[in-house]
Amino acid sequence: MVDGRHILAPAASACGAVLQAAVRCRGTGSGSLPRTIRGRMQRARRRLGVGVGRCLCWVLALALPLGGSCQPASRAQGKEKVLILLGGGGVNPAQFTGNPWGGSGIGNMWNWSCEGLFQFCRMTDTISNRLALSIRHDGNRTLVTLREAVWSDGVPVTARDVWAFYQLHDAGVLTYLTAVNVLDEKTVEYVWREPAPYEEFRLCVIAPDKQLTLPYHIYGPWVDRAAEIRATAPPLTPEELAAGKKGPFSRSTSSTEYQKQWTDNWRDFKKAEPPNRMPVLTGPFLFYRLNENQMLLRKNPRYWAADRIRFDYLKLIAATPEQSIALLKNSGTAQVDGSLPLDIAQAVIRRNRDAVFFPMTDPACHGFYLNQQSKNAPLGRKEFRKALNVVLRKAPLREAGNYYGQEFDFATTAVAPGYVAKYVSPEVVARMERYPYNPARAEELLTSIGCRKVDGWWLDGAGLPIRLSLGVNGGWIPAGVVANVATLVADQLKAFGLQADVNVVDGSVFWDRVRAGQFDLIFDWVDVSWSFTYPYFPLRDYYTGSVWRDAMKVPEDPETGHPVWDVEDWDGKKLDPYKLLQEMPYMQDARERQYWIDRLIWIANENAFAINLYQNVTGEWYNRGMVKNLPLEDRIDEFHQMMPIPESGEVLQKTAELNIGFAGASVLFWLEPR
Amino acid sequence: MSAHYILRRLGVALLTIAASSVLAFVLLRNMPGDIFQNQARDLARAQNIPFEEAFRQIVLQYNYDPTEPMLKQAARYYGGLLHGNLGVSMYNANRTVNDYVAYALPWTLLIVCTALTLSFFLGIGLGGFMAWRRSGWVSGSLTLFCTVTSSIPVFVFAFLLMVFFVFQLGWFPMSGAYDIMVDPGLNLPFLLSAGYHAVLPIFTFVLVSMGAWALQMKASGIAVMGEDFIFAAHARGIPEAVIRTRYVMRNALLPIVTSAAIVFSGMIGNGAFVESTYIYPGMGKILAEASGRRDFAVMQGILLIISATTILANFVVELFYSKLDPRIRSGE
Repeated sequence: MVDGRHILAPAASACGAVLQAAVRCRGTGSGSLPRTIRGRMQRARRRLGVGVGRCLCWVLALALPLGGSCQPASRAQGKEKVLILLGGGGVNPAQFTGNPWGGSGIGNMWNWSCEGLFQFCRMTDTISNRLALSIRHDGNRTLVTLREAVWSDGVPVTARDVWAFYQLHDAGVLTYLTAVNVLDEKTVEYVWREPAPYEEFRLCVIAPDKQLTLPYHIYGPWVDRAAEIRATAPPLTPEELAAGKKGPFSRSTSSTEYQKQWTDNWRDFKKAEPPNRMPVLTGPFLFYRLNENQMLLRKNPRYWAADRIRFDYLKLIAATPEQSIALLKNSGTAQVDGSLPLDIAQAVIRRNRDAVFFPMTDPACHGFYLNQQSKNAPLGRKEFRKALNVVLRKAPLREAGNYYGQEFDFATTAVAPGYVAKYVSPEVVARMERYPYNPARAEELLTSIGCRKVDGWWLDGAGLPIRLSLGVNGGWIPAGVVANVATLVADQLKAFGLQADVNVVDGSVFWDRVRAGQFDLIFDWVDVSWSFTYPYFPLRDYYTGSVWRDAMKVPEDPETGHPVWDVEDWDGKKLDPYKLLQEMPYMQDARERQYWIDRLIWIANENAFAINLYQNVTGEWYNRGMVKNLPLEDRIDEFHQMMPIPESGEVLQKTAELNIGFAGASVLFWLEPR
Repeated sequence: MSAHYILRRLGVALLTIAASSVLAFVLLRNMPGDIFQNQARDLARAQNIPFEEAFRQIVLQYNYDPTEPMLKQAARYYGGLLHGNLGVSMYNANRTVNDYVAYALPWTLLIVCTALTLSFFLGIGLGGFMAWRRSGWVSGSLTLFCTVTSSIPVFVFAFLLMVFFVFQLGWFPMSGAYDIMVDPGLNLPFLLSAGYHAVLPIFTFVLVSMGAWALQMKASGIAVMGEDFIFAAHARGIPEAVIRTRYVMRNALLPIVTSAAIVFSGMIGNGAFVESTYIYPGMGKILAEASGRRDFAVMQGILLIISATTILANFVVELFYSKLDPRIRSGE
């Protein structure tokens, strides 16, 4: 580390001397003035110059070394292969702690330095081994064997490190388990609560975590303390479990005493820092240095797959959206995340023949949740919700919000509608209602529930004016896009005779207002898979997550706090989606799961609980002048640098892996420097 | 200048700092929006857990108890302040606000002090010229230029300069204080890199404040040029250059010096816009980040430093004004 105090004084003296010399030189050119005046002027100038010079020198001498004093001072070599990516450090040097779980943590090196047992890829649902060598299921136990690997400080990775993660961290998988045990140095045992979930599901809940982020040899005291505290929590009773109560290792952790001890230990742990604040991790790249807008990571020579990594350094640059485009145009980066409006994308391509866009289907859609307890409109009535779905022309909305997006005629399907054909039985897909633009049908639907049109505006059954409030989160990124979409939606509703106002609210207060029921239509991601696209996960989020309470305002059972969905399938049979989804992980028969998935998706669409405007298509820009081995690389010119959306196979997988948000550091296993 | 006067002015300055600190403390805690609820909602959605459980987990991430009474928070904060401790970041329990200030203040001082010095000398030079040659198209054009530049908000200039010099011409780096590939320390590559990265932030400040200095200097210079002692100096045959520099400029400078503190505080205050545009690691950038995260501890610490800097700068100018102008006797 550079200590500013040691170099402050000599720096100031040296700079002062240089400037004094400069002032002396300057003072000799006073030309034709009388000698006395010239002398006085020279002295005055010199005094002024020296004074200002000294001030500036002190400022410079203070600012430069002190500003840089948070960085480790060692030199990056000049000839190495550096992969430049956007994303920046995500943390400024004053906040960097070296503890991935502490305070501001380690910023964006998380993706490149932290590994789990597995890596799953969003969009394709593939799961690859990382620090796990193999996985085996045996009754209600799952055994994971670790590969030979070491932490960045040279200490071998063991099963104790995986155990440590689960002791200190409230991972989602813990609610299905009764214990995680260390069988030997390299074997971790997961013990599932009986009845155990089906095997594929087990892997799905283990895979998303980054288990190797808590080296036991560094954080052992806090891990052991957490294990002690957790052991004091009583197991959940069968009655509590039947009522849907959850807890880590199936224990009840709600007592005040437990919470206090747990909180104290966690907060204490967050203050722990590894030696020299250097994170101790296992990933392909390790911390090297950091400044305000950049982070430099160096290849981990001890990485278990070091031979597959072709870059020596990763340089992560922070940039605003405008700066990202400029960097893309000028080959200042090898990668930019996200799609761009068509005109900007074309401008980038015209300017830079190396910039290539790889679009990919996002398992997420833009849309509106409908507040079923609205006081401004009969949104509790299915017919009204259906009517809203058929008065919207989706093409202009898609063009404004996501040019590359895809429109569907479904209302809402819980899973992204692009996956309906994949996951829903064909006969059920055929049975699902379609909602194309059809204002005549909307009028029929509204009339059927007693609404009527007076002076061009619709009134509800009680004769009161309908005035819809469309809530938009002002913090949405990219800013302004969804507000534009909401405005177009409001215009279309008004054109049909439904009064509608758009309320763009700051992100810090938006969800407070949603919870308070201030909006009737709430713009958000709908029909979205936050992890796996397999329908259980998006269905679980849809029917049992937080949106039913926050946005859709589904009635709640006062005793259990669970949603009361008043729904039935196409045979008129009543269903309880909440209960079904609690049971689904334990349905061993895939046909049984499919039976319920078909019905739950059909019900969402039939009841039109939301309005799906379009499915998002995201993408990644890469610079082929800086990297090679890109998907369909030999056909980039054929597609004029705008690649087609991949459908299947290796191209789909590679394209998904280009997206760091989807697949973490997977791209590093095959991307090469040019 | 009497000791009594200095103490009285110092007392007023300290009281003003205390008042601004109380104001910042109360206002920040009454800001609308709740960062915990927002994040809890995201976590609840991501992990499919009840909102209450997510809220509990999110509060754990912070070094802050949202249920703690405000008076208790105030007692803790002001107790620490008396010991020179600005508090601990809510977001990061490992870092004190003093750490943040120590990191960011030198960078802010670098660009603000350099910009202030440059804009001052360029502005008074330009203003002196405009006052001396106040007829003609050059002076008119300069006046127009100064009026325009001093009227445009600093963040607009920052963005325009970014577009022109970075996006179009590619002459300057678009962010940061130095390139990460150089070794920080007292070495030429680092100093050059730091200087190179500081050019646009400094230029932005200079461009915005130079015009104001120049217009002030022009007005002040014109007023001085109408004074009797200037006619007397001409009558005595003193050379024009001497009258311009030693008679006009020196006297015209006096009212301008007082506004140095205001310009300085304006630059510090506008730092959030300039530093955020250039992603420059100064106090303003830290303040903007802390504001986004509702890190009250860091926000009030930075605001205190900014207000204290402004008030003390005014105090210093007030004290030195009587030294600069012997006609003025402080406290009388």
